[in-house]
Amino acid sequence: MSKQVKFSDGRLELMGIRDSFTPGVTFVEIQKELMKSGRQHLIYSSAKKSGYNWFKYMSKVYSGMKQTEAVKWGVDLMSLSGWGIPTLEKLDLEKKITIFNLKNSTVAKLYGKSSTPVDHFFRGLTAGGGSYILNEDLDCVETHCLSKGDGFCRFLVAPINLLEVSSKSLRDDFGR
Amino acid sequence: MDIATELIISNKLQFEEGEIKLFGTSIFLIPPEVYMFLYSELDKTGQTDIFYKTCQASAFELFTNLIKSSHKDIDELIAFVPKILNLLAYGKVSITKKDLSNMVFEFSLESPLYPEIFGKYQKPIDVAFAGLLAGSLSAVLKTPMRCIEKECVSTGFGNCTFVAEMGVL
Repeated sequence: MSKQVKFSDGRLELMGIRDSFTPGVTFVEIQKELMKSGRQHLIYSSAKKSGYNWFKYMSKVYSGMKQTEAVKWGVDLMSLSGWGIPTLEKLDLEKKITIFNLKNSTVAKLYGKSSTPVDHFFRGLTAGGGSYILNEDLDCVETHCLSKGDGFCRFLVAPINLLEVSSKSLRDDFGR
Repeated sequence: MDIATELIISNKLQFEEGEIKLFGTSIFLIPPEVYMFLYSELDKTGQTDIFYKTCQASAFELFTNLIKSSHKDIDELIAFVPKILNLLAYGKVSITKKDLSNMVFEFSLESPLYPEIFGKYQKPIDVAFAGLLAGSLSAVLKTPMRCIEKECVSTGFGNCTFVAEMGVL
């Protein structure tokens, strides 16, 4: 992966796609502002589109990649990106269910305590990446979160009908 | 030695598993598309100033930490602003005007990231970068500085240019 990073003169390319660094506090403060008005789904949906497009691009550049390899790439990329330490807990290709854990979530640490899960960006990326890799519109809920007092964050990616989501969450977290 | 290597050796830019820190401040890699989607949504309700304010606060914290851990004079610190912002990879930053007595500065941003993603737009779109410049200069000059994007590649200019002066937006 390290050979796929090019950096010079204010330009960073990660596996051929231009990228940039954002101070974590910036991102968390934007998220807090959106969460005040129940619009965290904007972060989720933007990250979902971005995750989907990233894997779509990768599949063109590295055609023939297996689904399991693509998931592993996604996990490595997220670790490299500074969001925490992700691990793949479960991958059921038949039922299209994936579970990721995220240790030391940087967003959760910067966010502080919360009564609701806070990793909306990570949720979106995994939903978008999963949707492309498994060829179905998938969504993601954060079932455990460091900010809620859990030891780590856990994400369940699956078709929306398999996720137990309240109507409030459906509106605020998914924009539906 | 380039600035990134220098900072890594001096342990001021740290890449650890799942975490990146620059002068003790956590930074993330965020796909620029995410900014584009969020900016477009927040522009509908006239709330894009949130990018400016939050980036300003982050850059202020980052440069305050930098100043604490360095022994540079004011000219060296001002010269450091584009070097550090180059590391964030929004484009190639350079100072094009430096008037310390009147506290007026101009910066150019070549090959800017967001206009490359956005394409054409009806107004300058680099409010986040303007916020980063305002926060950086406020910390370095120890006085509130504001910054606006005067010209933007998305509105048809060759480079993005930013003007910073004393005051608050």
